[in-house]
Amino acid sequence: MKHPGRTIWVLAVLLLLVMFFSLFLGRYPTPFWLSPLQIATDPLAAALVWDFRLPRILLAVLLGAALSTAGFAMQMVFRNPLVEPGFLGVSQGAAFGSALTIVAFGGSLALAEGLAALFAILGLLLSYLFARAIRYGGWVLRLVLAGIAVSALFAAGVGMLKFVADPLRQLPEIVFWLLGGLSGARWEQVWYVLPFALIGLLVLFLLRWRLNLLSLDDATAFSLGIHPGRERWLVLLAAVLPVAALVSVSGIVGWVGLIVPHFSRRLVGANARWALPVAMLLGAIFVLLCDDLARTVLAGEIPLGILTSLVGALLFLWLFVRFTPRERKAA
Amino acid sequence: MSALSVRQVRYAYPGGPERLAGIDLELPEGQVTALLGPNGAGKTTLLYLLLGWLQPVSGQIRVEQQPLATFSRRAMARIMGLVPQQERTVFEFSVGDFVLLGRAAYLGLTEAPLGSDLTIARQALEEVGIGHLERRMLSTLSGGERQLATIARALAQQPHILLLDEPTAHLDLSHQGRLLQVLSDLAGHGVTVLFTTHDPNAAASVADYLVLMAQGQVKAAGPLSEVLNSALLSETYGVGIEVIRLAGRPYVRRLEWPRG
Repeated sequence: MKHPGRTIWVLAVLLLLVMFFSLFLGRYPTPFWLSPLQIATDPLAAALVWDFRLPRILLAVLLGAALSTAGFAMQMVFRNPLVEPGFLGVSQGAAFGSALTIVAFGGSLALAEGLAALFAILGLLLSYLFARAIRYGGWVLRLVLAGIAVSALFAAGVGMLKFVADPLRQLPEIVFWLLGGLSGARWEQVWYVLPFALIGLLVLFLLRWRLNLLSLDDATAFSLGIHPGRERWLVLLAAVLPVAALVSVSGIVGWVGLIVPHFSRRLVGANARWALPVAMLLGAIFVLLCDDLARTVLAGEIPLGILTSLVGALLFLWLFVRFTPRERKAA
Repeated sequence: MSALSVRQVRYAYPGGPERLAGIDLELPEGQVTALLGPNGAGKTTLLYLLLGWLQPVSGQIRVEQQPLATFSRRAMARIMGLVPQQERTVFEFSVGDFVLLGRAAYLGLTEAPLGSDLTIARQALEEVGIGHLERRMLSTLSGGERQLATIARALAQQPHILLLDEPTAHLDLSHQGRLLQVLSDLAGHGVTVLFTTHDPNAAASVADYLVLMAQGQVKAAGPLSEVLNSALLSETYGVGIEVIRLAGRPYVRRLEWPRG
């Protein structure tokens, strides 16, 4: 028998350690390491750590926690382990909002973030409305179909905006946003994201045992004494709000919400009571480490979305090649 | 006393033809009732109406003398449990975690099961005779063990009424026997049991009461010995069927293969 409680404590301590050491990691004054002593003596180093690195670390932690927790919750309520939080038009909606700002309104940062969040929510709403209108299949299948269609519509819109964008000024900006990254992280963004992230994550954390019930088929969940439809919406809303807020700041950071829930279930089993907090912590550590790499390895910044996809996809392959279903059953 | 009563219930799937045409039914308390009928008779539809998952087009269902609609979802789940047919789970739960899901009706929105819930879940596992499987993964169980685990989950609801949809389908003979014995024991402890089956012998081996259904209607209902007769069964199933007695219980056998 595994010890899920112990795993959670170990991961929590690990996250704090990684956060602490990330403060000293970077390319000033020399690549990779900033001595703690220098923060006390060099005002530039201190400013760098408190005004740039700390908010960036916090955003990376929130981003990782939000993506992986939302991915975990959505996989359970959709009864499909291949769902991720960008699903239901959220990611492509955010991408469209941000590209629209860059092309039509000259790309003010605050406006881009606002419109990205707005269109992310709009993506979710459209997916919901279409799912209600579709006359085919059960509720879960209809949401999946609607989500695919709405994502494709927004993706077409992004393609159109890229096509009409000024190739020297606007196009690189759109492409960079689509690749995802936290290079622009400042305290204002932390304050803007924080309430959405905390409320969404708290609701998911509190409802985590119920997620197990929502992963059963609807009639069965109903027979156990819950209203599956209502509770599913509560969970989806709590999952999408923090993702929409964070994606509006970070751009598209792929694979985290898909892969981290798989690892957390491998660590402590499928019971969401333990696996959800594990996914939350594991996601935060994963994105923070990727972001540390993104800002340290090269003199220029590597887009975070590239790293999470690269590492995430490799881990995903390793996970499924290394552990066959048979070994899992014997374990 | 009847635990469940159904009056003139009609049901049609939205936009579809009528599925159940004026069902009348009384479920005697603390007894095993079998809902017997050929495939497509409307047995499962009736079960989901009794559960409240489907709403009748007309007619009334009363649970313990109260209209079904007056119960809250939680209150209902404390009275009635369901064992669905061939339930599939996407995620790999342990048997213990799976059975604990039966405690949902006693827990608030943000609560997780406590030690007392675990005690009840373990009792439920013991009651169906698979206490030793608590730590196994659900996916490693045989079909029969899995069905027993699903019954244990419903028992963790501490229901007065247990509904089972084709509980013996897909089970081998020894597991069938074990499962039917569990149902009979439960009725011995005062639980009202209703199970659907298309197999007359599954019904004949444990049921006290029998409801015979065909084409969305109740053909006959009453004590097993009255309803389980050759003429009624032959008519319902459309083949020659004979009821004999074997080891003190009725036994049903087919006299001919269906023609056409």
